Amino acid sequence: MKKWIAVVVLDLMVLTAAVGLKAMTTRAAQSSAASATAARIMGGPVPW
Amino acid sequence: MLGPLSYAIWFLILFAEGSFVACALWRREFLRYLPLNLYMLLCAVANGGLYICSRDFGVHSREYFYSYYSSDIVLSLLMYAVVAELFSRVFETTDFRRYIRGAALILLGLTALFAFVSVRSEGQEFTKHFVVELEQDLNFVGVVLMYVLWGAVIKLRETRIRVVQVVLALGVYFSAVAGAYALRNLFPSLEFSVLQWLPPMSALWLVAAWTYTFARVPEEARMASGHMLVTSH
Repeated sequence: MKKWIAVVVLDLMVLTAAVGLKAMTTRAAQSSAASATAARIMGGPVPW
Repeated sequence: MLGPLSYAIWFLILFAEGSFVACALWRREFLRYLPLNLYMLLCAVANGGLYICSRDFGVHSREYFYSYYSSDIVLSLLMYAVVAELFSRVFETTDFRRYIRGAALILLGLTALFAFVSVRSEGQEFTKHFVVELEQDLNFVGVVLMYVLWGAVIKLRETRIRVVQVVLALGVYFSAVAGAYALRNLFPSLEFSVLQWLPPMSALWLVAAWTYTFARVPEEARMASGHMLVTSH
């Protein structure tokens, strides 16, 4: 049980880091739909 | 409007993805690395489908928009499965191996919950906003997971060259894409310059690096553990 709690805590840490990273880098993603469409058409799996 | 260079990169990636899958089938390794091969196969199918969609409806159409996001959410989930599988391979000699699948499912659930909470106020077109949000969140989770995974590779002194190269290539891909968008945020004037080309070029890098790894590096190839000791102390 303790190990699963540790797993959940680790998961939360990863999610927090990811959300923090996203907040820092994607103010430009306000227009994500248009830019992603333009970028994806150029050939790659552009995610956001 | 797309130029010849855009189409050239697009078809190059499509060709590379197709070659990767063909190589895997020819070497009878499709099932051994199932999530990874499935990801590449669906990338090729999605790229082919999007080309047809863009040709018939245009890149600014609703049809293209929905095709793009519905294919990308599937690809994001598959990429997440690829990362989870890499974790399983790296941790397969440790006790933590038993928890990888559960941890991956919990993290996926938490990420979906976070995406839901972020867009729950979007009454109309909730599904569209949820898919876009979840796809973005999964990619940022992927970036963080790759750095965690690389730390594990160093700490556990992983010596399988294939695993190391696949992890490194994926790390470069995630970092390049995240870096491109971060720089675009910092310097909006650069959006339509070199930064425009970085995401597709990183996608090309990923498929080229993986193709090279699986074509040229045998499954049993190992590196001397001393190669990574410099960074492990």
